[in-house]
Amino acid sequence: MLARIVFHEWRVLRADRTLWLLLAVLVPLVAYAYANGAAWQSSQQEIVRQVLADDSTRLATLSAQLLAIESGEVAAPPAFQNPALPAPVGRSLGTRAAVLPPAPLAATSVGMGDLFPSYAVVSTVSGDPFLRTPSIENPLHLLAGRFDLAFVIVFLLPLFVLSIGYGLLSQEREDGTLALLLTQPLPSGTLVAGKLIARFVVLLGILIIATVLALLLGGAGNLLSWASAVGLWIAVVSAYTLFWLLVVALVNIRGRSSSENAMTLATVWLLLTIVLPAALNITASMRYPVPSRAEMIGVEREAAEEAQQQGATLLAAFYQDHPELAPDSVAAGPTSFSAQSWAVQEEVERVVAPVRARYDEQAASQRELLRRFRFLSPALMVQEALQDIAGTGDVRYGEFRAQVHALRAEFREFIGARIVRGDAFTSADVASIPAFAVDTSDGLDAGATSRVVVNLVGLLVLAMALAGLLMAQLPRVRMRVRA
Amino acid sequence: MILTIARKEAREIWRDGRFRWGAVLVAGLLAVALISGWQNYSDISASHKAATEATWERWLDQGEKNPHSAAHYGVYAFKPMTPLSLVDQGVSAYTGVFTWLEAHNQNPFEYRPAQDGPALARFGQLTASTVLQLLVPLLIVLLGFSAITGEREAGTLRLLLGSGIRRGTIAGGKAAGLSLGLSALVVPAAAVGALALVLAADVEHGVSASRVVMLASSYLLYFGTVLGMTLAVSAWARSSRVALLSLIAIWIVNALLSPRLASDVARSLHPLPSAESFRTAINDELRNGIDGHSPQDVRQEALRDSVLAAHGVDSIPQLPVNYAGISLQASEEYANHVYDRHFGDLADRMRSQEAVHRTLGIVTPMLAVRSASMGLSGTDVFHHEHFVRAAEEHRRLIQRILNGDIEKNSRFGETYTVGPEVWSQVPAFTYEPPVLASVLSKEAPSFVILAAWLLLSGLAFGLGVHRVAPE
Repeated sequence: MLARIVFHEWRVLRADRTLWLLLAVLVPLVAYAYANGAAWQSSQQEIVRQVLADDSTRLATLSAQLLAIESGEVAAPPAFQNPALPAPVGRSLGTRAAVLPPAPLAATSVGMGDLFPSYAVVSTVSGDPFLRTPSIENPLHLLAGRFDLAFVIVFLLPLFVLSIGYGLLSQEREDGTLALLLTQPLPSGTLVAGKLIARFVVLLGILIIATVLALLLGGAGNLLSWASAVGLWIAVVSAYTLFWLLVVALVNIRGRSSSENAMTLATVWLLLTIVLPAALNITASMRYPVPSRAEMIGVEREAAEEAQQQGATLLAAFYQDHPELAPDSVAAGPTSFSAQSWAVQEEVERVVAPVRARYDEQAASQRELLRRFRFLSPALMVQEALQDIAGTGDVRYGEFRAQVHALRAEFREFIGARIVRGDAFTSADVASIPAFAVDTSDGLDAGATSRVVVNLVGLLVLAMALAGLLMAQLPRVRMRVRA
Repeated sequence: MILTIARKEAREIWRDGRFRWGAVLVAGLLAVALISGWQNYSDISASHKAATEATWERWLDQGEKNPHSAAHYGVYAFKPMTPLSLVDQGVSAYTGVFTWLEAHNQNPFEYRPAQDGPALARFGQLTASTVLQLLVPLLIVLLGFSAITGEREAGTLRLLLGSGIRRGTIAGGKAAGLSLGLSALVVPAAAVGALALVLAADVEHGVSASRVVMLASSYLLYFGTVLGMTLAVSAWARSSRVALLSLIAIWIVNALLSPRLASDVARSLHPLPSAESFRTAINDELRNGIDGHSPQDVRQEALRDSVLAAHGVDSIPQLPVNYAGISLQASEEYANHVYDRHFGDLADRMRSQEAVHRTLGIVTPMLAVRSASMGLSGTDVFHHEHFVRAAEEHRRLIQRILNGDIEKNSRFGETYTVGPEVWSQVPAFTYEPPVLASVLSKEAPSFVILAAWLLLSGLAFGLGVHRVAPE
């Protein structure tokens, strides 16, 4: 019986041009959104390629310069750009790049990728190399966000569901066919289920085929090793569609007119995808306001000044703490100057670190609060899941930032030890400058997968709650048959 | 007669439970948005004010050093928050908030506040402008979609026409009645907003009553347009359902799709360089000259020869002034020239992109009102660029003063240090926001577009009412 209803609904959808209309709108929409994301993805790939190329050129140049100086072919340049001294190497000549190549599915959701850099250059210079990587984008476009596939899914897909479902039962009633249908030996649950299944299959079928085609044609690369990610993507989108179809059914069994249903559904959509997220954002930012970074600059400068004034004392204290790093004889000239300014820098880092941490903690609390409340709105869960699958969510950028900071610490230690020991920098040292381990893993990492699964479960729980509500109400609903 | 119809419409709206709930929700959101906008404004402006004072004190207290060391030490410029940001925060979460004014370099603005926010924040902040641009129009749609179709479907249109009322009167009465109903929401909101602005009133940041009035009128034009469109669709549509669905579709394109699509159009018409190629181009020109054939040492040599010739001496120590100051200032000026070319070009492109968004208001009125709203609130790209420009001018002023001091008061090669007497010659950085006239001349197209929309939608409504036939 159910199969017959589904088949009948499918014929109706085909006959009343809904199917063709969906094809004509949804397919170009997916193609456009994907192409948009793919353009961003390839620009990121290009940047990463360029940064890595620059990185190896920089080291090769450094090596060549050092060899030339060591063999006596050329005289050493002035101290501030002398590659044989560790300080200039740490500042600019031997800096190392860290990169975050876009994941294969990055084109499906630009996410935070337009706001955060996909690389950072690590040096001994003060400041957060991740947050200070320059990027050029019109802020107006950052505000609007990208027209990518995630946007189509989160905001537009529900609207498609509503447009093919707002008259689920009311249309039959207005056409006078509901009375006929209900005279058949047909449980109303089966009727509703059949109608929902037909719409679910048609809508998702078009969407998934179009997306997979886009992924294949768009050259997303080795999709096989990302099959589980694609599978998760499909599961999340299906659960989201299911949720909205159930909302449609619940509104329809109230027996109101098609117009009223459309109005109610539009309101529900507005509340869940626009009003609630905005309200949660405002709650989180009022509860955990992240102060302007302006204050941080003040602390940094003050620390720098105090440290500078006691530069010599700091260096002496430093040698006391690290006797292994003290040079045999404290040499005069640029070395001791470098050592002193290094001690000053270390002190500034030490003082500023807790201040920076406070900002990060506040931002993290804000994120945590929002993440806890995301279960209230399916749109929030879907957005986060799609970003995690695409590798463009704030968690992944946060991890990258932590990796950048770890490399920076390692790099500073490497250079700093040579500065305070008063060692020269030699061509043999170039190979041991700490390097970034580029993420080349295939497939989603465990953390991302578990986050996606949690959101998926959240969506399914919501859907199940709606389904339960529907099933509880259906037998008790007196189907109004007259418009 | 118009009045009778209007009164009836307004009364019907007020009695409608849906409208009451919608209005309460919208008013509540608006209140929350204004409160948090106010909190945001006062937090940021207090911290930036403190930071500005602190950076200035540190500049004065930096002790004895060479003026050029001081130039490297520099000061920071913090972007002030405008009080009207409590209505529209515009792009302020997506632009850097401060820059370092140091010798030689025009530094980019750092720390976009959105980078500290969660990914979910990209759903959009709840600001008064969101409520006014997205939610109020939807409320208007829900209120008015059946204004004419409803009369027709209920058979009352025939009665109305039969009683000899002119169609123009019906149209006027409907429009007036709906406006009256809406004013129940808009008037208190405007009052609250005005009160908040009185509290926030801050002449030094260029908030004047006329700015507020212009801001309010841009929204009134927009609401008028949406109302006109709603009524027009209601007059032309076959049924209430068709009217509602068409209006929701229009709302989706207008509110949801247009900002993103406009970004794509703007991006493809006026592409921006990548940060990497931008930096490289500047560094190349600094190193090899703007024409690519005059490297730094050649430029230095030419400068030295011309300075020596001008003073009629043949070596640097013979000069009556310190050549170091002249040379530093010359390299600053050369760099400024390079920065003007590149940063100027970048700013031009961003402005062109902004203009694309504004012009596309011809297609969807939301883009026009958004542009006017951000512009008048002082939170658009134009205002940001204005501050960037002012900060850069101040940086150049600092360099001129310090290099001039080296040139006039020191000898070539000597160890030269100065103290607060020179630091205080540099004026504190004060920022004058753009005057209303310059904002208005930029936003004039937005107002023209909105007025045209209002006229057009009113016309479409009038025509629709004149051809509508009772069922």
